[in-house]
Amino acid sequence: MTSASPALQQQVTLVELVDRVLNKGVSLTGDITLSVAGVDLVYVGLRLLLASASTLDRLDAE
Amino acid sequence: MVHLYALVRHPAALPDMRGIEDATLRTVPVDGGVEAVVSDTPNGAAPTENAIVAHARVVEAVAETNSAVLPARFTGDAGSDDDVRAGVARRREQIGAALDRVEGCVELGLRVLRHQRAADAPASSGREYMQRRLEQVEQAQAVARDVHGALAGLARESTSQVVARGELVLTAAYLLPKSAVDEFRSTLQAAEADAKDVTLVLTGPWPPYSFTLIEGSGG
Repeated sequence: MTSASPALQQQVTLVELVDRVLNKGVSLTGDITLSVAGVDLVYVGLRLLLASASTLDRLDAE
Repeated sequence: MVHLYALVRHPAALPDMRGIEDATLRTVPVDGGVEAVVSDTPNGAAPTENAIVAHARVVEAVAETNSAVLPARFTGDAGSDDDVRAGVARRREQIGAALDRVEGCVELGLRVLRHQRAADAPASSGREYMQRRLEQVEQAQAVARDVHGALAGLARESTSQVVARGELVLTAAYLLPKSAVDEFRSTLQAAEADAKDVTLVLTGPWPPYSFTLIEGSGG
């Protein structure tokens, strides 16, 4: 196994935070998902973060 | 209009801080012993990185000052105080049960990432490559399921999703009493020793975002 590096840990934490705030939790307005333009940007950011996290992962393994 | 951060039991204890765009935090009392933590957002709150982090900070602080908290999803606009009251009233029983369930608990998140094996001998065909890749993903998923099984046994509730998205093979969340976090971490460390070819990333403790209105255990 590999323990997660602090940088990987930090990036996953941010991904997890945004995922929780936008996708989890109580919504009183039903299952409305955000259709605001900004959210797409957030998700693009998330994909970038995941990509760089996996890059870090590979670097760690080397 | 208002932005909703969390639902708590009456009497709510508001943390000494400000909300999104430096707005004042206040509560909207609802019949039946529930209060909603909100701030006023005249133009609605756009889900920028700053706003998302501000929302998360308030929820975390509210979870410190109240023994049971249901974090709210960032929806940008929860309507008026009356809309919040009506929304809570419609789900009164579910909300009451969910507050009981998360009382004194935190959430821990787990992501299991598969290692890429760059050192393998080159595949002789595209088909062999795909076959090998599939086997590696399935092996990693099996390891991830074992880890999840050991951790879920310690949690009051858990939810998990096996996926194959890039290196990610499993995401899971665990609801557990604050006092059980240390034991949970020790169990994870023991599981790590047996978990080959994967990286385990534990995050939290979080307020219980993933256990707000789920009925029963997701596994």
